[in-house]
Formats: sequence, structure tokens, C-alpha cells
Amino acid sequence: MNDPAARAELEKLARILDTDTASLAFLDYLEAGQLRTLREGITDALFEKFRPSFSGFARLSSLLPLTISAKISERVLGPMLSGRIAGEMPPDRAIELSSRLSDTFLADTCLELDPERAKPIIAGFPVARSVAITRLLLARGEYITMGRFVDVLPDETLFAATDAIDSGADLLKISFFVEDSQRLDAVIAHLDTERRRAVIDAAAAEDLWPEVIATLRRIGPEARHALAELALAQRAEILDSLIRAAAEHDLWPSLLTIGRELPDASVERLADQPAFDDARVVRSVIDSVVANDLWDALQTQLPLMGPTRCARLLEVAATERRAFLAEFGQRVTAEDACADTLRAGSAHLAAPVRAEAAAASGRTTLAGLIAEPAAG
Amino acid sequence: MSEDDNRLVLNSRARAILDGLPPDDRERLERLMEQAAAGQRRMLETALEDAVRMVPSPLRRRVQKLFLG
Repeated sequence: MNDPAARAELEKLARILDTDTASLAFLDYLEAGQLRTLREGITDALFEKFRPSFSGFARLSSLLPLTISAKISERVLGPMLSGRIAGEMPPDRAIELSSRLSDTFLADTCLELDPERAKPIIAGFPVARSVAITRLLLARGEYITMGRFVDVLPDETLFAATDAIDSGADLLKISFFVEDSQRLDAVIAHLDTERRRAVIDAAAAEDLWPEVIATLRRIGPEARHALAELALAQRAEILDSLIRAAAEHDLWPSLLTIGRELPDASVERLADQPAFDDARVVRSVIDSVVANDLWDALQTQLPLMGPTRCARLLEVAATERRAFLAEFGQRVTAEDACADTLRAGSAHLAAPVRAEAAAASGRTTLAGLIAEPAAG
Repeated sequence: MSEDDNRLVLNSRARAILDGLPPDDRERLERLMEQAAAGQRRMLETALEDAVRMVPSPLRRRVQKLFLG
């Protein structure tokens, strides 16, 4: 499964069904949106099925002194049932009861709580306690749960919890599971440049580029520009890791889309990286353009790639991906912005390769551009 | 308890996706949903018995009423 968002949804669905992700591998062809609809439907159905019992326990709690209610929660109900019952309790009572429960138990309960249903409780929950629970969840690597809480936490709590997370990698892993992109925008706006850079460093160091790209696709244009520009301004080894991750995980559809919104200089800097000399990388670009119908994006961005990269693309295509040239040939016209780049790129090719590329392009304008390269 | 007791009623959007799955996949997912419901049911039944035992005796009858409706 290549789509990180779909992978995140499968993990969340597995948790709702009290199973592991491997048991749901048979659903890996579904899109993220379909999996989310299923997950939300199953969550609601499980809740509604047993709602009378949850309501009964919620009413029971209001009949009893807090100390006994707290004992029943921790010793009898456990985190799963307590999480579901909390959604049926008056928020004030639930918050009062939580003050008698341990941080560890509350962290366990967070795993089972439906944040949407518990929104009124979360809104009134003490900030300091939320931060303490954040630290516990973080120590356990509970990124799914933390991501789901980002959607509903009030700003003050969200920012305090964000400040309690030191690692850029942790922030990135959590962001992957956040559903409301506006909340992600808010978190990114809260991060200073140093912390944003730490997120990008973490992506390169821990091979988390799919998570970064998935996040970039979902956030608002302002936050996307800021993060993408910062990423493309990083040192060469970071850009190299981005390009190789894009080749490995087929991130080109997202990268090409994001690239269209960025300043030319940022895209040119990425295209300038030596990784684009690697035939495996070039093949992955070609295969992604064909598989994902990215012809327009390729034609738009070829001029930014420059003649040298264009020559490498033609060379790899001429020797290993002739069908790509045949189809590209059907699309390129002499008026296209990429025509000059193609002609200039062809001038870098050895004569036999140029002849191969022109032949593979059929009787098209592209073949003419390749066969008659720009002088000098 | 019949198997129907653990069958979940999905909203129309989730139902449409479930119904669109190949029969084998649909059956597997329905089985997992029923297992999840059965697990939750067992936990609630056990919790109710234990909770009633922890409640002070003058309140027990009221507690039982809460759950019997």
C-alpha cells in the first residue's frame, strides 16, 4: 500500500475492531476516504449497539460517590468501557471523576475514547493534566491516538502539548494521523523555524518522507509553501533522501503537484540534485508519469529541470522506456513551454542515443525537436 | 445468544462501501465487526456483574433498575 493516508486509516480501523493491521490487509485496495467512512460507520455502530449499557454506567456514576465511581472505573470497567461511557456522562462530572483517576489509566482510556464524542470533556480538561497524559502517550508511541486528539483539543491545550514534544520525528508521526487539516495548519503556524527544520531533518534521518508529503498535501497553501520551501532549501543530502524516497514510494504525483505551487528556484534546486542522474530515479519518474497521467505536470516542470536533466530523461527513455516517448510524442507541440528544453536537452545526447529517442517518438513534433537539437 | 445479537447496523455511507466489497472480503470484514461487538458485549456483561458487587447494598436494586430500563 503506497498511500500513507490509507495506511493510517487501516491502522485506525484495526484499533476499532480490536485486531491488528495485518488482519485487515485484505482491504488494502480501498482508498483512504472509503476506509475512513467504514471506520466512522463501525465506530458509531459499536457505540449505538451498546449505548443503553454505556448510559446505564454513566447514570450509575452520578449515583455514587466519586471515590467509588473511580474504583469501578479503574478496577471493573477498564479503559475501553470507561472511554465509551465517558461520552455519555455530563462533561463536568466526567472531568471531576477524571481527577480521581491516575494519569496512566487516563492515558489508557484515551486510546479507547472517541475524541469527537468526548469533545465537551476534552474542551474543559485541565491543560497541565493533558500535557502529562501527552507525555505518557508519547512514551508509548501512541501516534494514532495523539493525532486524533489534535482534531479536537482547544488551542491552548494543543499548543502546550505540542511544546511538550521535543522530537521532530514524533511531531511528524502524529501529524500523519490528524484528520482535520486546519488543526495541522494551526500546529505548523505555532512551530518556529527551528522546530519546522527539525521535522524536515527527521524526515530525512528516519525515512519519513511519505509522511511529510502526505501532510503537505493536506495542509493549507500557506503552511504548505512555508514547509515545502524550507524543505527544498535544506542541504544536499536531505534533498537526495527526498528524491530517493520519492522514487521508492512513488511520491512523484504529490511532489509534482506541490512543485507547481512553489517558486521556480525551489524546484530548480531540487532538479539540480545528482540523484536525478540515477537511472532508477529517472525510471521511477517516467513510470509515475505514465501510471498517474502526470503529462501536464511533466510538461510544465521540464523547463525548470533544465537541459541536462531533460537529456538524462530522454536517454533513459530511449533505452528503457520507449513507450513513454511514443506517448509523450503525441502530446508535445512546438508551442509548448517545454519544447525549447527538449531541443536543448537533445543537444546533450550522443548521436546514436538521439537517433534512438527520435525513432521511439514516432512521427511527431517531439521526434523533430529531438532530431534537430538546439545548436551550441 | 444468537449471532444476530452481535451484528452491527452501519450508516448508509459505510453500508454502501461494505456492500461494494467482493463477497469474500465483505464476509471477512463482517466477521471482524461481529467479533468486536461480541468482545464488547462480554466486557459489559462482566463489568455489570462486578460493578453491582462494588456498589453499597442499599443502592444495588437501583443500579439493577438502571440497566434493566
